[in-house]
Amino acid sequence: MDVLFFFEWLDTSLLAQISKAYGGVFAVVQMFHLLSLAMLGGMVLVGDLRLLNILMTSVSSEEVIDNTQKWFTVALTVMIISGIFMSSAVAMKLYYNEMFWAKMASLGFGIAFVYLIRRPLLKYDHDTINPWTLRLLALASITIWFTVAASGRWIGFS
Amino acid sequence: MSKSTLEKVAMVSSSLVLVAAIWFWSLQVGDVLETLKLAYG
Amino acid sequence: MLNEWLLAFARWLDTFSWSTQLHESYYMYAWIESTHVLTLMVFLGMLCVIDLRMLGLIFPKVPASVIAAKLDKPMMIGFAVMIITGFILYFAIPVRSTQSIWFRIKVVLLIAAGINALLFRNRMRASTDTWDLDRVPPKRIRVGAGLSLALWSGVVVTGRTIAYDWYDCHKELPFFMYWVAGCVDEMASYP
Repeated sequence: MDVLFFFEWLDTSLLAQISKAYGGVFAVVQMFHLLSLAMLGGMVLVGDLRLLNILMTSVSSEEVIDNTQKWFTVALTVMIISGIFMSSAVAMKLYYNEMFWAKMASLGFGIAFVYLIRRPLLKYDHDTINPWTLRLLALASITIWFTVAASGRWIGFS
Repeated sequence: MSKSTLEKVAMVSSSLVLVAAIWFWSLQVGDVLETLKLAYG
Repeated sequence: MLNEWLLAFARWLDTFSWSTQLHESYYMYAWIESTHVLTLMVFLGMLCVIDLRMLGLIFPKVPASVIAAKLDKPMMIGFAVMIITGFILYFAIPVRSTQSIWFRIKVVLLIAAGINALLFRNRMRASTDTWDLDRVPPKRIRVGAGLSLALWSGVVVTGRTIAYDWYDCHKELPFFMYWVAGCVDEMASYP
Protein backbone atom coordinates (compact mmCIF):
# COMPACT_ATOMS: atom_id res chain seq x y z
CA MET A 1 0.00 0.00 0.00
CA ASP A 2 1.39 3.35 -0.99
CA VAL A 3 0.71 6.13 1.49
CA LEU A 4 2.21 8.88 -0.68
CA PHE A 5 -1.28 10.34 -1.16
CA PHE A 6 -1.55 10.89 2.59
CA PHE A 7 1.69 12.87 2.70
CA GLU A 8 0.67 14.85 -0.37
CA TRP A 9 -2.58 15.70 1.36
CA LEU A 10 -0.85 16.55 4.65
CA ASP A 11 1.64 18.74 2.78
CA THR A 12 -1.15 21.01 1.52
CA SER A 13 -3.53 20.75 4.49
CA LEU A 14 -4.50 23.60 6.80
CA LEU A 15 -2.14 22.13 9.38
CA ALA A 16 0.77 22.52 6.96
CA GLN A 17 -0.22 26.08 6.13
CA ILE A 18 0.02 26.94 9.82
CA SER A 19 3.16 24.95 10.61
CA LYS A 20 5.01 26.32 7.57
CA ALA A 21 3.99 29.94 7.96
CA TYR A 22 4.39 30.44 11.70
CA GLY A 23 7.78 29.45 13.10
CA GLY A 24 6.65 30.50 16.54
CA VAL A 25 3.66 28.14 16.55
CA PHE A 26 5.89 25.33 15.34
CA ALA A 27 8.37 26.02 18.15
CA VAL A 28 5.63 25.95 20.80
CA VAL A 29 4.27 22.65 19.50
CA GLN A 30 7.79 21.26 19.41
CA MET A 31 8.15 22.34 23.04
CA PHE A 32 5.23 20.07 23.98
CA HIS A 33 6.79 17.30 21.90
CA LEU A 34 10.09 17.61 23.79
CA LEU A 35 8.49 17.91 27.23
CA SER A 36 6.36 14.83 26.62
CA LEU A 37 9.50 13.08 25.41
CA ALA A 38 10.98 13.74 28.84
CA MET A 39 7.85 12.54 30.59
CA LEU A 40 7.57 9.42 28.45
CA GLY A 41 11.24 8.66 29.06
CA GLY A 42 10.81 9.11 32.80
CA MET A 43 7.82 6.77 32.96
CA VAL A 44 9.46 4.11 30.79
CA LEU A 45 12.73 4.23 32.74
CA VAL A 46 11.17 4.20 36.21
CA GLY A 47 8.84 1.33 35.27
CA ASP A 48 11.37 -0.78 33.43
CA LEU A 49 14.27 -0.20 35.82
CA ARG A 50 11.92 -1.32 38.61
CA LEU A 51 11.16 -4.52 36.67
CA LEU A 52 14.93 -5.01 36.36
CA ASN A 53 15.25 -4.54 40.15
CA ILE A 54 17.55 -1.54 39.73
CA LEU A 55 15.39 1.39 40.82
CA MET A 56 12.79 1.95 43.57
CA THR A 57 13.22 -1.59 44.87
CA SER A 58 11.52 -0.72 48.18
CA VAL A 59 8.24 -0.06 46.36
CA SER A 60 6.29 -3.00 44.90
CA SER A 61 6.72 -3.29 41.15
CA GLU A 62 2.92 -3.54 40.68
CA GLU A 63 2.60 -0.12 42.33
CA VAL A 64 5.34 1.38 40.15
CA ILE A 65 3.89 -0.03 36.92
CA ASP A 66 0.37 1.07 37.88
CA ASN A 67 1.43 4.67 38.46
CA THR A 68 3.76 5.08 35.51
CA GLN A 69 1.33 3.62 32.94
CA LYS A 70 -1.19 6.41 33.32
CA TRP A 71 1.31 9.18 32.62
CA PHE A 72 2.91 7.17 29.85
CA THR A 73 -0.38 7.29 27.97
CA VAL A 74 -0.70 11.03 28.57
CA ALA A 75 2.83 11.65 27.26
CA LEU A 76 2.35 9.38 24.25
CA THR A 77 -0.91 11.12 23.30
CA VAL A 78 0.67 14.58 23.42
CA MET A 79 3.66 13.32 21.43
CA ILE A 80 1.51 11.85 18.66
CA ILE A 81 -0.67 14.95 18.32
CA SER A 82 2.28 17.36 18.34
CA GLY A 83 4.21 14.97 16.08
CA ILE A 84 1.52 15.02 13.39
CA PHE A 85 1.54 18.82 13.44
CA MET A 86 5.34 18.96 13.18
CA SER A 87 5.42 16.43 10.35
CA SER A 88 2.95 18.50 8.32
CA ALA A 89 5.64 21.18 7.94
CA VAL A 90 8.01 18.78 6.16
CA ALA A 91 5.62 16.06 4.98
CA MET A 92 7.22 15.40 1.59
CA LYS A 93 10.74 15.40 3.00
CA LEU A 94 9.68 12.85 5.61
CA TYR A 95 8.05 10.57 3.07
CA TYR A 96 11.43 10.08 1.39
CA ASN A 97 13.38 9.88 4.65
CA GLU A 98 14.49 6.40 5.67
CA MET A 99 14.93 7.31 9.33
CA PHE A 100 11.36 8.60 9.50
CA TRP A 101 10.07 5.20 8.45
CA ALA A 102 12.38 3.47 10.91
CA LYS A 103 10.87 5.67 13.59
CA MET A 104 7.28 5.00 12.48
CA ALA A 105 7.93 1.25 12.37
CA SER A 106 9.41 1.19 15.87
CA LEU A 107 6.68 3.52 17.14
CA GLY A 108 3.92 1.32 15.72
CA PHE A 109 5.52 -1.77 17.15
CA GLY A 110 6.12 -0.01 20.46
CA ILE A 111 2.45 0.95 20.82
CA ALA A 112 1.33 -2.61 20.06
CA PHE A 113 3.96 -3.96 22.46
CA VAL A 114 2.84 -1.74 25.32
CA TYR A 115 -0.92 -2.09 24.98
CA LEU A 116 -1.23 -5.67 23.72
CA ILE A 117 1.61 -7.41 25.54
CA ARG A 118 3.28 -5.43 28.34
CA ARG A 119 0.17 -4.10 30.04
CA PRO A 120 -1.99 -7.25 29.85
CA LEU A 121 0.88 -9.34 31.17
CA LEU A 122 1.81 -6.96 33.99
CA LYS A 123 -1.78 -7.00 35.25
CA TYR A 124 -0.98 -10.37 36.79
CA ASP A 125 0.83 -10.65 40.10
CA HIS A 126 4.47 -10.04 39.13
CA ASP A 127 5.66 -12.77 41.51
CA THR A 128 3.85 -15.33 39.39
CA ILE A 129 5.64 -14.28 36.18
CA ASN A 130 8.96 -15.84 35.20
CA PRO A 131 11.61 -13.29 36.28
CA TRP A 132 13.43 -13.70 32.95
CA THR A 133 10.29 -12.77 31.06
CA LEU A 134 10.04 -9.61 33.16
CA ARG A 135 13.68 -8.72 32.55
CA LEU A 136 13.45 -9.31 28.80
CA LEU A 137 10.22 -7.34 28.66
CA ALA A 138 11.82 -4.38 30.45
CA LEU A 139 14.95 -4.44 28.29
CA ALA A 140 12.85 -4.63 25.12
CA SER A 141 10.67 -1.74 26.28
CA ILE A 142 13.67 0.52 27.01
CA THR A 143 15.21 -0.47 23.66
CA ILE A 144 12.04 0.28 21.69
CA TRP A 145 11.51 3.75 23.17
CA PHE A 146 15.18 4.63 22.89
CA THR A 147 15.06 3.63 19.22
CA VAL A 148 11.91 5.69 18.61
CA ALA A 149 13.49 8.77 20.23
CA ALA A 150 16.96 8.38 18.71
CA SER A 151 15.72 7.70 15.18
CA GLY A 152 13.37 10.66 15.63
CA ARG A 153 16.27 12.96 16.48
CA TRP A 154 18.29 11.55 13.61
CA ILE A 155 15.59 12.52 11.07
CA GLY A 156 16.86 16.08 11.44
CA PHE A 157 20.42 15.09 10.63
CA SER A 158 19.78 12.72 7.74
CA MET B 1 -5.09 -14.77 25.72
CA SER B 2 -4.30 -17.01 28.67
CA LYS B 3 -1.51 -15.99 30.99
CA SER B 4 0.92 -18.66 29.84
CA THR B 5 0.38 -17.78 26.17
CA LEU B 6 0.82 -14.10 26.99
CA GLU B 7 4.06 -14.89 28.78
CA LYS B 8 5.34 -16.83 25.78
CA VAL B 9 4.34 -14.05 23.38
CA ALA B 10 6.12 -11.53 25.63
CA MET B 11 9.25 -13.67 25.76
CA VAL B 12 9.39 -14.15 21.97
CA SER B 13 8.51 -10.56 21.00
CA SER B 14 10.96 -9.09 23.50
CA SER B 15 13.76 -11.27 22.16
CA LEU B 16 12.81 -10.28 18.62
CA VAL B 17 12.92 -6.60 19.61
CA LEU B 18 16.41 -6.94 21.04
CA VAL B 19 17.73 -8.85 18.00
CA ALA B 20 16.12 -6.35 15.58
CA ALA B 21 17.50 -3.38 17.52
CA ILE B 22 21.04 -4.78 17.52
CA TRP B 23 20.75 -5.44 13.77
CA PHE B 24 19.30 -1.96 13.04
CA TRP B 25 21.78 0.00 15.11
CA SER B 26 24.83 -1.92 13.90
CA LEU B 27 23.66 -1.20 10.35
CA GLN B 28 23.51 2.51 11.22
CA VAL B 29 26.95 2.46 12.82
CA GLY B 30 28.28 0.66 9.74
CA ASP B 31 26.86 3.40 7.49
CA VAL B 32 28.47 6.08 9.63
CA LEU B 33 31.86 4.36 9.58
CA GLU B 34 31.66 4.08 5.79
CA THR B 35 30.93 7.80 5.42
CA LEU B 36 33.77 8.68 7.78
CA LYS B 37 36.12 6.51 5.74
CA LEU B 38 35.08 8.27 2.54
CA ALA B 39 35.51 11.65 4.20
CA TYR B 40 38.78 11.19 6.03
CA GLY B 41 40.25 8.12 4.34
CA MET C 1 31.27 45.92 29.52
CA LEU C 2 30.16 42.44 30.50
CA ASN C 3 29.07 41.78 26.93
CA GLU C 4 32.53 42.71 25.62
CA TRP C 5 34.18 40.35 28.09
CA LEU C 6 31.82 37.51 27.23
CA LEU C 7 32.43 38.00 23.51
CA ALA C 8 36.19 38.15 24.04
CA PHE C 9 35.98 34.90 26.00
CA ALA C 10 33.92 33.30 23.23
CA ARG C 11 36.43 34.47 20.61
CA TRP C 12 39.23 32.98 22.65
CA LEU C 13 37.38 29.63 22.77
CA ASP C 14 36.85 29.94 19.03
CA THR C 15 40.61 30.05 18.43
CA PHE C 16 40.96 26.42 19.50
CA SER C 17 41.12 24.23 16.41
CA TRP C 18 39.09 21.66 18.36
CA SER C 19 36.14 24.01 18.48
CA THR C 20 36.04 24.43 14.70
CA GLN C 21 36.71 20.76 14.05
CA LEU C 22 33.81 19.81 16.28
CA HIS C 23 31.48 22.26 14.62
CA GLU C 24 32.41 21.12 11.14
CA SER C 25 32.65 17.41 11.90
CA TYR C 26 30.45 14.97 10.00
CA TYR C 27 28.92 13.23 12.98
CA MET C 28 30.55 14.23 16.25
CA TYR C 29 28.52 17.39 16.72
CA ALA C 30 25.28 15.61 15.81
CA TRP C 31 26.05 12.78 18.22
CA ILE C 32 26.82 15.08 21.10
CA GLU C 33 23.73 17.12 20.36
CA SER C 34 21.59 13.97 20.19
CA THR C 35 23.02 12.74 23.49
CA HIS C 36 22.24 16.13 25.01
CA VAL C 37 18.62 15.97 23.80
CA LEU C 38 17.97 12.31 24.54
CA THR C 39 19.32 12.60 28.09
CA LEU C 40 16.24 14.77 28.65
CA MET C 41 14.44 11.48 29.09
CA VAL C 42 16.68 10.61 32.03
CA PHE C 43 17.14 13.95 33.78
CA LEU C 44 13.84 15.66 33.08
CA GLY C 45 12.02 12.33 33.12
CA MET C 46 13.09 11.63 36.71
CA LEU C 47 12.48 15.24 37.71
CA CYS C 48 9.01 14.98 36.20
CA VAL C 49 8.15 11.93 38.33
CA ILE C 50 9.45 13.65 41.50
CA ASP C 51 7.59 16.90 40.80
CA LEU C 52 4.37 15.09 39.88
CA ARG C 53 4.59 13.32 43.24
CA MET C 54 5.06 16.66 44.99
CA LEU C 55 1.98 17.91 43.13
CA GLY C 56 0.08 14.86 44.36
CA LEU C 57 -0.50 13.49 40.85
CA ILE C 58 1.47 10.23 40.91
CA PHE C 59 2.39 7.52 43.47
CA PRO C 60 -0.11 8.77 46.08
CA LYS C 61 0.55 5.78 48.33
CA VAL C 62 4.34 6.07 48.31
CA PRO C 63 5.95 8.61 50.70
CA ALA C 64 7.20 11.67 48.84
CA SER C 65 10.62 11.39 50.46
CA VAL C 66 11.03 7.83 49.14
CA ILE C 67 10.36 8.96 45.56
CA ALA C 68 12.74 11.91 45.91
CA ALA C 69 15.50 9.81 47.47
CA LYS C 70 15.26 6.87 45.06
CA LEU C 71 15.15 8.94 41.88
CA ASP C 72 17.80 11.42 42.92
CA LYS C 73 20.74 9.38 41.68
CA PRO C 74 19.52 8.64 38.13
CA MET C 75 18.37 12.25 37.88
CA MET C 76 21.81 13.57 38.83
CA ILE C 77 23.50 11.16 36.40
CA GLY C 78 21.28 12.57 33.65
CA PHE C 79 22.05 16.10 34.79
CA ALA C 80 25.80 15.47 34.69
CA VAL C 81 25.59 14.15 31.13
CA MET C 82 23.49 17.13 30.06
CA ILE C 83 25.88 19.65 31.62
CA ILE C 84 28.98 18.06 30.07
CA THR C 85 27.47 17.71 26.60
CA GLY C 86 26.02 21.21 26.97
CA PHE C 87 29.45 22.71 27.63
CA ILE C 88 30.88 20.85 24.63
CA LEU C 89 28.08 22.20 22.42
CA TYR C 90 28.80 25.74 23.62
CA PHE C 91 32.50 25.16 23.00
CA ALA C 92 31.74 24.12 19.41
CA ILE C 93 29.78 27.31 18.62
CA PRO C 94 30.92 29.87 21.21
CA VAL C 95 30.58 33.21 19.43
CA ARG C 96 27.07 32.80 18.08
CA SER C 97 25.79 31.28 21.34
CA THR C 98 27.21 34.12 23.41
CA GLN C 99 25.26 36.66 21.37
CA SER C 100 22.12 34.54 21.26
CA ILE C 101 19.06 35.88 23.04
CA TRP C 102 17.80 32.33 23.63
CA PHE C 103 21.07 31.09 25.05
CA ARG C 104 21.11 34.01 27.48
CA ILE C 105 17.54 33.41 28.64
CA LYS C 106 18.36 29.73 28.97
CA VAL C 107 21.32 30.41 31.26
CA VAL C 108 19.21 32.74 33.43
CA LEU C 109 16.45 30.12 33.66
CA LEU C 110 19.02 27.45 34.50
CA ILE C 111 20.31 29.53 37.40
CA ALA C 112 16.74 30.22 38.56
CA ALA C 113 15.88 26.52 38.35
CA GLY C 114 19.02 25.70 40.33
CA ILE C 115 18.15 28.16 43.10
CA ASN C 116 14.58 26.87 43.18
CA ALA C 117 15.86 23.29 43.47
CA LEU C 118 18.12 24.21 46.41
CA LEU C 119 15.38 26.10 48.26
CA PHE C 120 12.94 23.31 47.50
CA ARG C 121 15.29 20.68 48.86
CA ASN C 122 15.83 22.56 52.12
CA ARG C 123 12.14 23.24 52.54
CA MET C 124 11.45 19.58 51.97
CA ARG C 125 14.09 18.31 54.37
CA ALA C 126 12.80 20.61 57.10
CA SER C 127 9.22 19.49 56.80
CA THR C 128 8.85 16.01 55.30
CA ASP C 129 7.95 14.50 58.69
CA THR C 130 4.68 16.36 58.74
CA TRP C 131 3.35 15.53 55.27
CA ASP C 132 5.46 12.72 53.86
CA LEU C 133 2.51 10.33 53.68
CA ASP C 134 -0.07 12.86 52.50
CA ARG C 135 -1.52 12.07 49.10
CA VAL C 136 -1.31 15.74 48.22
CA PRO C 137 1.58 17.70 49.81
CA PRO C 138 1.05 21.19 51.33
CA LYS C 139 0.71 24.21 49.08
CA ARG C 140 4.26 25.60 49.47
CA ILE C 141 5.64 22.26 48.27
CA ARG C 142 3.26 22.16 45.33
CA VAL C 143 4.23 25.68 44.34
CA GLY C 144 7.92 24.72 44.40
CA ALA C 145 7.23 21.64 42.26
CA GLY C 146 5.15 23.61 39.77
CA LEU C 147 7.82 26.27 39.54
CA SER C 148 10.47 23.61 38.98
CA LEU C 149 8.52 22.08 36.08
CA ALA C 150 7.86 25.52 34.57
CA LEU C 151 11.49 26.66 34.82
CA TRP C 152 12.90 23.45 33.36
CA SER C 153 10.33 23.59 30.56
CA GLY C 154 11.63 27.07 29.85
CA VAL C 155 15.18 25.76 29.73
CA VAL C 156 14.13 23.09 27.20
CA VAL C 157 12.28 25.53 24.99
CA THR C 158 14.97 28.20 24.93
CA GLY C 159 17.53 25.44 24.36
CA ARG C 160 15.62 24.36 21.27
CA THR C 161 15.15 27.89 19.95
CA ILE C 162 18.90 28.62 20.04
CA ALA C 163 18.92 26.86 16.67
CA TYR C 164 16.52 29.44 15.16
CA ASP C 165 18.04 32.62 13.72
CA TRP C 166 14.97 34.84 14.24
CA TYR C 167 16.81 37.22 16.57
CA ASP C 168 20.42 36.84 15.51
CA CYS C 169 22.49 40.01 15.92
CA HIS C 170 23.03 40.59 12.20
CA LYS C 171 19.29 40.96 11.64
CA GLU C 172 17.35 44.18 11.93
CA LEU C 173 16.02 44.05 15.48
CA PRO C 174 14.26 46.32 17.94
CA PHE C 175 16.78 47.91 20.29
CA PHE C 176 15.47 45.88 23.22
CA MET C 177 16.33 42.64 21.44
CA TYR C 178 19.84 43.89 20.71
CA TRP C 179 20.23 44.69 24.34
CA VAL C 180 18.98 41.30 25.61
CA ALA C 181 21.04 39.38 23.07
CA GLY C 182 24.06 41.43 24.12
CA CYS C 183 25.05 42.24 20.54
CA VAL C 184 28.53 43.71 20.51
CA ASP C 185 29.72 42.64 17.09
CA GLU C 186 26.74 42.27 14.82
CA MET C 187 28.57 40.37 12.13
CA ALA C 188 30.59 38.19 14.51
CA SER C 189 28.79 34.98 13.61
CA TYR C 190 27.25 35.92 10.29
CA PRO C 191 28.08 33.10 7.90
